[in-house]
Amino acid sequence: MRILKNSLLAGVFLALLTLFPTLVAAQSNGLGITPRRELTVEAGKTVNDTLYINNLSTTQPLKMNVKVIDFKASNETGSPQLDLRTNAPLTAWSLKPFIKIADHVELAPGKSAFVPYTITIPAGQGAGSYYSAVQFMADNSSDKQVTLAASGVSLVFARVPGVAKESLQLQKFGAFVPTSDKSSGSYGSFYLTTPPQQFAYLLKNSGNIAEAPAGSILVKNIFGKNVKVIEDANAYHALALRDQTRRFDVCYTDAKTGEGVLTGKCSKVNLAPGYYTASLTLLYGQNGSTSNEIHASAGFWYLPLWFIAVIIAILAVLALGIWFIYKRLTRSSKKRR
Amino acid sequence: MISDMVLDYPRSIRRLLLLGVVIYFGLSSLPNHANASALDNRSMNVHDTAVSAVTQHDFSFTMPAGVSVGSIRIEYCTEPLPVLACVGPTGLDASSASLLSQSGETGFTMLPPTTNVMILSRPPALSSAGTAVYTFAPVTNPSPLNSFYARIELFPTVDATGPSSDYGAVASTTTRGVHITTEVPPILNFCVAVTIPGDCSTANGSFIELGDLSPAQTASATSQMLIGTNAPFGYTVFVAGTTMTAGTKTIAALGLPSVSQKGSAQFGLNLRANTTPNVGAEPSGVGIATATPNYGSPNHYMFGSGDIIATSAGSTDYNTFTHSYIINIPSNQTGGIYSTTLTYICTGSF
Repeated sequence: MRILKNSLLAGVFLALLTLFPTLVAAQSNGLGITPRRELTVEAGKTVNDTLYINNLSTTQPLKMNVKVIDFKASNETGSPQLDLRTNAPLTAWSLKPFIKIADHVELAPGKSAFVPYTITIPAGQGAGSYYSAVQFMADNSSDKQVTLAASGVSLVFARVPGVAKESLQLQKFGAFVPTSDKSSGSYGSFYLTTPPQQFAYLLKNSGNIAEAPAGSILVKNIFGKNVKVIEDANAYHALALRDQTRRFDVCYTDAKTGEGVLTGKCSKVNLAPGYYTASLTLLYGQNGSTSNEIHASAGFWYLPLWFIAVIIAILAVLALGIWFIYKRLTRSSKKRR
Repeated sequence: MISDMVLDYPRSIRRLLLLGVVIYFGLSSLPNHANASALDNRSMNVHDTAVSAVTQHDFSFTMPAGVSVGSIRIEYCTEPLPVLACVGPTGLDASSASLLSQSGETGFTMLPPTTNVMILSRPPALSSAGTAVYTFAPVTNPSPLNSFYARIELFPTVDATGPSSDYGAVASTTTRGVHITTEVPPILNFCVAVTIPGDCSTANGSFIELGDLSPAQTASATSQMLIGTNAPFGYTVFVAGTTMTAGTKTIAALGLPSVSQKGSAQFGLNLRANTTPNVGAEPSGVGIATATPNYGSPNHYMFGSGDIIATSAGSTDYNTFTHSYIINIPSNQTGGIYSTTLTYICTGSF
């Protein structure tokens, strides 16, 4: 009887052991992270900072492998292109040699933490922007057909102060209509339904510092009267990375709702039909460095279909009037003869 | 009588020309601030850029030679355009500032400053070329996290009245202060699971079984991801991994958006509701994120490791995306247990 009892207990224990790996393997695939950090680190100095991590699962632990990877701009927008290759060569702006962070992080269900890291810039390192990404990757593995893993990436930018090469060249500026995913779009001069709801400018960064230009756009009508002002042409401090040609989208911001291009809801703008000129003034340069200035202007026509119809109707009435007068004149001259 | 109604065309053309000339000169005579010369090599150094910091502001520029300078006006504004009236940045306060130092062109005293205007005054004198530097403190930085501008103008008068002779603007940006504890920091929340019926705490399952693969049937399955962020610059989601693999044998991934074809070697996914096969769901939620074109077309699937599959151009409420997977195999597909690990990578944008 005792042997049977012991065997049963051993069986239950073995069964639990068999189950245990499955329970342990169940791991969170939900995390909250700091999306972007910007720091200033002087050459020869170290800066300590933290990255926020939150386990969004309330029942499963979150185990993450941590690694530093390089990235560059993937297109004209602010989407990064991550270099996920193992042993990928360093970029010219890589922070990898200067950054130290733990290679593994674990969080209990529902818990958050600030993961410490340091950036040490060697003495003599040239001024400019250096950046890499810190990848937190959920540690999932299985023998199933498709295994899902979540990974969060924090972009870390470090500016080394000093005399850096700052060079932005304007490539395009004008009224702009983006595609639905906003990855591209078209610059236009004629608008037949609604006035253009946003502008865009394209800047090529040939310097060695990631630039966030600041400036304004002034819209004037055909008589030179100011009709609209967009005070902040880079409201959310978007960056043109090194070697990137970056498009900056700007739209009229509703003062009441704060709606703007980066909330995905450009405010509708009311303009009378006619020709308009938008003037862009941009300033860029690091704090304490010489300000550089960019000026550009672009024109556009807003000719709604109803307005064209009214013009055609007026022209038709005028033509009819002229024809009527002509007829009257020719008739009276015939009468006189 | 009727002959009086005949139009006098030469006279009308003369009148139109006259009107044009009047309009041209009328518009030209409107106030134009652009007549001032530009100040070169301008810079502003804000010693502490944190929002609302009480700090020192340094201004530097190249003083033009031979210009009568009686005053220098430094005016903080929300935009740099001289043709517009200046609006002082919210929270900025220079009313307690004093001139700490001056170099280059000197001899100035400071007139009583206002919230956003500082005026340096001296008896008018011709300037010498060279770098001029003026430092002021204490100045309280603007309270919003934003760009702000200082307009620098030279005047021949002692009190910055009348037209300015030289003009230039400089920009600065406030940064997040480490001492601010009430501010909500940018956070990017992201989860992936087989199903996510509610928020990320309801995410369920990390493994998908597709059963036995057959050339006569398209195998399909779904998983979901939920993303939201308060970061103003938005996010980007990538997919990374390998195609279905069994040792050295693989099922070819669709390198371009393609329709499902039974009997072909195909592995791909998209983020839409599909009819061929009947799998997936439309993105949902009140957020503004969208699938990228390659992964956002119904009944078209592809897979490339490192591809961007969804983006948000700005801060956004949550969106749920459903990944629809399809697998087709040819009749000569070598047997084996095919598997893959797909990592969905979510990153902030810049």
